[in-house]
Amino acid sequence: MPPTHDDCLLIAQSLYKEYDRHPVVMDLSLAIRPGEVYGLLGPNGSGKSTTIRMLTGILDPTAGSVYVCGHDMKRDPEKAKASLGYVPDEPVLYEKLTALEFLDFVGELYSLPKATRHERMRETLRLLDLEDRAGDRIESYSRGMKQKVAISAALLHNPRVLIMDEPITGLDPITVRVFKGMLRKMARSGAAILLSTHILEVAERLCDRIGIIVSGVLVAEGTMPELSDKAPDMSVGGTTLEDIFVGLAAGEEHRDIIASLETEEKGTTGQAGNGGLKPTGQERNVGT
Amino acid sequence: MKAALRMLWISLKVRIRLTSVGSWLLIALVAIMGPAISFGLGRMVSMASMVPEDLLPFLTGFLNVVLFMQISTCFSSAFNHLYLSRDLPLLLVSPSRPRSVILAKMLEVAGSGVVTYLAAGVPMLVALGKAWYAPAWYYILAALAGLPFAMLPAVLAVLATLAVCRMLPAYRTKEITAALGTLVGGLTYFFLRFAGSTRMWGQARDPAAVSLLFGKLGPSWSPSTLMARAVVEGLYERWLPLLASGVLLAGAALSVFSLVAARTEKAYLSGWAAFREGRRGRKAYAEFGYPAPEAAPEHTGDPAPAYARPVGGTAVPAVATEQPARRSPLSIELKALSVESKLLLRDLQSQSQIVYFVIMIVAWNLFPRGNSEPSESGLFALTPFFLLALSGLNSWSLKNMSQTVRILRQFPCDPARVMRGKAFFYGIIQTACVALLVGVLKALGRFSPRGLPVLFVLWTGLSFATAATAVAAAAYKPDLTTATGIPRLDLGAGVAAFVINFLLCFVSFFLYVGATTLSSPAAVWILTGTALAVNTVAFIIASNKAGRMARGASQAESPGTGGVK
Repeated sequence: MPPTHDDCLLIAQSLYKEYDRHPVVMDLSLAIRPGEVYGLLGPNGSGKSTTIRMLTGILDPTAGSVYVCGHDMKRDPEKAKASLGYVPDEPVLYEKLTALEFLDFVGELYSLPKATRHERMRETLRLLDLEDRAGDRIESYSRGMKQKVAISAALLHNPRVLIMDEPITGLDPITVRVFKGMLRKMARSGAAILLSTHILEVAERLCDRIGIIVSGVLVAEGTMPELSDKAPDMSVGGTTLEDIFVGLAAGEEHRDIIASLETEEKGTTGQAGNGGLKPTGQERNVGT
Repeated sequence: MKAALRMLWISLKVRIRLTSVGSWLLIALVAIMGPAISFGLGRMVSMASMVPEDLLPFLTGFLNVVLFMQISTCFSSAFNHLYLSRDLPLLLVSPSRPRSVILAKMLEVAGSGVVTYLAAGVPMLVALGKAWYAPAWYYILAALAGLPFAMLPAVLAVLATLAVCRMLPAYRTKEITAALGTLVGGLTYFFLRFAGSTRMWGQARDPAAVSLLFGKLGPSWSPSTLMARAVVEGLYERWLPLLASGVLLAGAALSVFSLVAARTEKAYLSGWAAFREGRRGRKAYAEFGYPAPEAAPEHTGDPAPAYARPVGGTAVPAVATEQPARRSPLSIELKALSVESKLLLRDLQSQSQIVYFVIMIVAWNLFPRGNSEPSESGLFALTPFFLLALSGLNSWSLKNMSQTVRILRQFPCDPARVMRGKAFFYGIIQTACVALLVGVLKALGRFSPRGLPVLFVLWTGLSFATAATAVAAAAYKPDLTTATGIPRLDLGAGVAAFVINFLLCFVSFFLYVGATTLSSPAAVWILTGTALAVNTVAFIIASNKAGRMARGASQAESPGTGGVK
C-alpha cells in the first residue's frame, strides 16, 4: 500500500538529482511514519547527504517531491520547515555569537514565544551538557560542542520530523548515550526521525527500519530481518548489520578483498593460537 | 635555507592553483591600476620639480606611505601565512627543521610586502628616472635597494602575530593583528613624518596638498629618508650612495630577519599548538546573566498549529509542536539587525572598515583650501555620495553571507526579511559615518553647503540603498561548499552593484543640485522626495532580490563531502 499523508510524516517521492548531467540520486522514494526511526546508510559518495539536503529543502531535486507533515517542500517550504528539525553534517553557525544568542535567533526564526524559547534553550543545553559554556562564543568551541549547538537548534521547536546527517560525529560517549535516549523519547511521542550514520552499531540499536543507498539508488529497505533476507549470498556471511551492509553495498571486488583478509586473519590466529591478532602480554614485552 | 625556499615554492604553487579566475582578474586590474597611478604621480611631481633635490621630501613621504602599506599588508596576512596555510600540516610533519618552515613562512609574509613595493614603489622610481634621463643601472639599483623595505614590516608582523597568539585566544589573533597592522602602520607613518623638522618644500613655491602631506623631510636615520636620498643621488648619476643604501638596508633587514627566524622557532610551535587546541577564556553561564524565562502563555485549543498536522490525518499521535507567536511586523528584521550588530562588534577586522571613513575625514581636513576655493564647493557635497557608492561594497555584508544563506535555507522564514535586517544595519552605520564626516567638517568651518537638511536626507536614503545593493551582491553565489564559507564577492555581482550604486549616487546628486538651485520650497521637496523614493525602491528591490538569491542558492550547492563527481 503506498504511503499516505495520513500515516506518514515524511514522504519522498521519486527523488532524482543530477550535477552536471551526472545523476547522484536516482528515483529514491521513502516514507517515515510517526514514532519511527529510520536509518539511511551507504558508502561514501553514495548520495546520502544529497538525499538529506533534498529532504530538508536545502537542495532542490531535479525531479520528485518531498512532503513534510503533508506540506510540499517545494510549494510551501516555510510550513514544511516549521515542522522539521535538521542537524547538518557540518554545523553552520554564527561563530561570533554565543550559543545562547544563536539559539535565541533560531527560536525567532521558528516563531517561538520568548518564554518558551528560553525554556527550551535551557532544557536542550542542559541535556547536552552545554549549559556552563552556553555564554561563550561559538568560535571557542570544539567540533563536538558545535555539533551540540546544532542539535539544540534542531530540537528547539520540538519538531515532528527530525532529520540528521551524521549527528554523533564528534560527540563524547556520554552525550551520545543521552542523545540516543532523547531520540527514543521523541520517537515514542510520535516524531518521525531519519538519521544517516556510518556507525552501524548505532543504526542497529536505534533504527526501526534501515535504508541502504548505493550509487544514488536505494537498494534495500526494511527491518533487520527483512534486510537479512534481501542480502545476497556472499562470501562474507553473517547476521549483523555490518555483514548485511557489506553484502548489499560492497562490490564483488571488495567482498573478495574482505573475504581474503579475513581468511588470512583466521590462519594467523590459528598459528598464533592466542585467539586474535593482538600480541600477548609476553609478545608485547619483547624488545621493550 | 634551501629547504625553506623549496617550501616557499610549494606554497606558491598551492596558492596559484587555488586562485579563482575572478581573483586573477582582480589581481590583473590592481596590477595595472596601481603602477599606473604611481607612475602618473611620479610624472606629475617630476614636472613640478626643478631639480632632483626638490623631490626629497616628497619621495621620503611617498616611501613612508609605501612602508605604511607594507606594514598593513604584512600584518593582515601574517597570521594566514604562519598558521592557516593549507600546506602547513604537511610541512610540519615533513622531515625538515621547523626553522625552515618558519623561514619559508616569513619569506611568504615578506613576499606580500614585496608585491606592494613592486606595484606602488617601483613605478614611481621608474617615472622619476624617465624624467631625469637616468642611466640603465639606476633602474636596477633603485628597484633592488627598495626590496629590503619589505623585510622589516614582515619581521614586525611575524613578531606581533607570535606575541598575540601566545597572549590572547588564538581565534582572535587574525583580527587583532589586522587591526594592529593599521595602527602600527599609521603610527610609523606619522612618526617618520613628524619626527623630522626641516621643511624642504617651501610654502612660497606651492602651498598645495602635496606640500602639506609630504612637505617635511623625515629624520636622517629613517630608512625612507636614507632611500630617498640615495634615489636622488642616483638621479644625479651617482651610483655609489644608491648601492650603499641598498646594501645597508639589506644588511640590517637580513640580520633582523635571520635572528627572528632563529629565535622564534619555539614561540612559533607553541603558538601553533595553542591555535590547534583552540585555547580560550571561560565564561560561566551564570556570569552571562541570561534573562530568566517569562511565564509561558496558556495554551488553549489545539496544541499544534494547522500546518503542523498531516493533511487529513487523524492517525498521527499529537506531538508537542510549539504554537508560533504572533510576530510583530519587523520582528525578524530587528532580530537580524541585532545579530549583525553583535557580529560586527565582535569582529575587529570588520570594524577596521570604519577606519577608512575616519581616514577620509582626516585626509579631507588636511587637504588645504586654495585661495579660490569656496567653502560651498560642489566637490564637498559630491564626495560623500561617492564615498557611499564605494563603501556600499564593504566586506561587512560579505563576511557572514555564506553562513546566513545556509542558516536561512534550513529554517522556516522569509529570507528577504533577514536580508532587509542586514541592509538596515549597514545603512545605519553608513549614515552615521556620513553624519560624522559632515559634522567634523562643519565644526571646522570647512563645509557649509546650501540645503544641508535636504542633502542629509538624500545621503541617508542613499546609505540604505547602497547597503542593500551590497547585501544583494554578497548573496549572489555565496560559497556554500564549506561550513564556515569564505567571504568572496562574485566579480560580476560586484561590478553590477558598483554600477548601480554610482547610478543611484548620480541620480541623487543631480536631484540635489536641482533642488538647491530652485527657489520654490515645494519644488525642493518634490525633488528631494523623488530622490528618496528612488532610493527606497532600490532598497526594497535589492533586499528582496537578496532573499530570492539566498533561497535559489541551493542550485549552486555542491554535492556532499563524498559526493559522486
